Amino acid sequence: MKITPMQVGGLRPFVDALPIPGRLAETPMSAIPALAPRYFEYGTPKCYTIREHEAYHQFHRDLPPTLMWTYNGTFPGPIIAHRLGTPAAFRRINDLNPNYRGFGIVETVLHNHGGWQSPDDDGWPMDFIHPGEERYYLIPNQVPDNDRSHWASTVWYHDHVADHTAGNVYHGLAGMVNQFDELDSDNENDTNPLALRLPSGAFDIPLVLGDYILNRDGSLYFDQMEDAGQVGNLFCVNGKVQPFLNVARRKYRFRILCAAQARHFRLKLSNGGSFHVIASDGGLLEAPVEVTSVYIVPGERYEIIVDFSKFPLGTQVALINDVDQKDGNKPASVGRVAIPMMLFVINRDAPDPSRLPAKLQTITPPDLSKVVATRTIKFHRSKGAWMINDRFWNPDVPLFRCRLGTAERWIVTNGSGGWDHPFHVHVENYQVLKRNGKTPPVIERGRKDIMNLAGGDSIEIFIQFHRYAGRYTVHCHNTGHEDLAMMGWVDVQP
Amino acid sequence: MFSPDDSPPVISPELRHFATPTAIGDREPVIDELIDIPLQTHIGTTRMSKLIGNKGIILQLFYTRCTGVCPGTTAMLKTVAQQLGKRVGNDIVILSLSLDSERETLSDIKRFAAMHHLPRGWYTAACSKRDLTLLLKQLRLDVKPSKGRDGTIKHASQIVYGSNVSGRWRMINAELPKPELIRDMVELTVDGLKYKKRR
Repeated sequence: MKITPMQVGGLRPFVDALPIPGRLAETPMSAIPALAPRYFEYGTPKCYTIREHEAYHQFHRDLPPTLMWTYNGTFPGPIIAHRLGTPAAFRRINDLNPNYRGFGIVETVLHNHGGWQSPDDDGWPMDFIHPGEERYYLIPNQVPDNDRSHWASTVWYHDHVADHTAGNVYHGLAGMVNQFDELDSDNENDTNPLALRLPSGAFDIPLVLGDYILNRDGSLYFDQMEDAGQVGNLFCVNGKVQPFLNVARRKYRFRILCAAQARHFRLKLSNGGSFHVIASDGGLLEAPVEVTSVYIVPGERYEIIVDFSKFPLGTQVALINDVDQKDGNKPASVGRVAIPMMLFVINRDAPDPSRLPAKLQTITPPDLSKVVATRTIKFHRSKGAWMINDRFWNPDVPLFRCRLGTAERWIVTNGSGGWDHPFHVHVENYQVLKRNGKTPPVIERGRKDIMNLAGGDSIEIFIQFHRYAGRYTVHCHNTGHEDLAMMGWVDVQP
Repeated sequence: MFSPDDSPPVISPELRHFATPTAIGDREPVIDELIDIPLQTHIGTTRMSKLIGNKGIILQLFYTRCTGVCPGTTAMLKTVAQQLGKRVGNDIVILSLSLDSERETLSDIKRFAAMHHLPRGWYTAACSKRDLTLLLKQLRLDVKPSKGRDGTIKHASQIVYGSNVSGRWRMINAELPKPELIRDMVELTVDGLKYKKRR
């Protein structure tokens, strides 16, 4: 008998194991067409192939399979692991069904969110390719200005086509990117004295948060007319409804990505226990920050270390979200609900050579002497739609022009109390100087590319244009807002 | 995908309150095809499905008497129609549908069409209040007008575009600065694979 959501009357949590995406395998250079000289600008690149195609995914064992759009057949897509200093060339093939009918659009764009690459390789919203076409990208994996401070971070890749990003990402076009370097070396046994030896391998796990709605037949429900951004009722981690993860009594590193369209999460452990935030969007913080919760909004990443060694064998701890959100506008409340996202089951002992160092790195502080301009960027609603600086998305006219090699101070505001806007800039990270006139909380002092602007909020950021001239997209990462024209771009001129 | 262990745990007593099944519940149906309502157009009666056929549609919701946003939207759509050229009527229809079915008469609709010299494939129309309510509900649009200090009617100025064939629907604010952008977005959404980038 076909099981439909209404017949089962609901879904039991903690019955499916957390799926952990595998790493994307390298493609031999001999297996792809010859690369143009520009792909060798930073040395011989590692090559990878990403193929966008339909595949079935099961959100929960009691639900019928859902036809998704995937990167290489899985949802989320495979983890891309980069080593800074080693460039990577990507061949992206759009193999989606050209006769697809419904929300989203099979003309796609690939955005390397949080990566430092030329705007031409970043995923300009109008640079889509059709099914049957392919495109190449160069991810340099370099560090701005050869800055000696650490730049490896958790990035993600997702679709970014103008007008249809929300639908396309919701279809499944999203995956994680883990960057490594000498400090964050992907090896908890590393003998290099510089290595931090953070939990690695099977103990370095992505948690991609999302919320979905399914139709009775298992297909995705998506309201194309929802201009506030859709919030779902199926709470998923790595594409599974409220999964469980068996863990050992040791430290784990979790890379948390909010890949939801509009939903915010505040994550806590059900026993009220603490954990350490070690990194935000743009890489490691200067030192671990012990917290009992972390708040995350669409597009944002936080990395945490949870030490399960303090729990007896057999303990179960749920990861809960206490943000109640009934629509895409903003949370209805924080702290009044406890929605389980997943369950940790401490079921074994294991050696733990990993470390949680007291000091992680030194972040180069903003050099305010480089600031050549201060600008105001206002996110607001007007004329029944979303605007930035009284403008709608226009790929032909920039919001303003900046000069390569300079830095600027931007004051970014959300004029309304009715809506939140996660503020995102492409290509360059930024550093937050002030939030509402005050020094930002310590976990917001790292490099960022997403900052939530609640109604009335104002943040002051420092942004530097290090190397790449071109179009830097700026937008709200509530993708419902983004698609309804809350997007612009900055022209960085040589 | 690697799943470390597939055997679900027995939930410990202190966490059982978290193990309540996720409620799924019903939602409003989402748009697939535009609701098939009867229309009184400036050239006769028809139904939405017949008017669209297998073409794409640009839907403007307007007031013939509006002195606020509608004249600008109409002017912008005229530019879009010029840019689309022969595609209007052949591949894409434009429908300007009155939001004031109680007061605006057939003669108002006809006068508006004549005044703007609407090309073939662009229709002005009205429908019953009930049908308009159903359509606005399907489009999730709140277009309640208000009067500005200067007496002009103010209301949301969204344009809906899409295709019954592709099942793809989007909306965009009519005050987007460039008709070319609206044309591009409409063609991308309506045509999909057939759309060719202009560079």
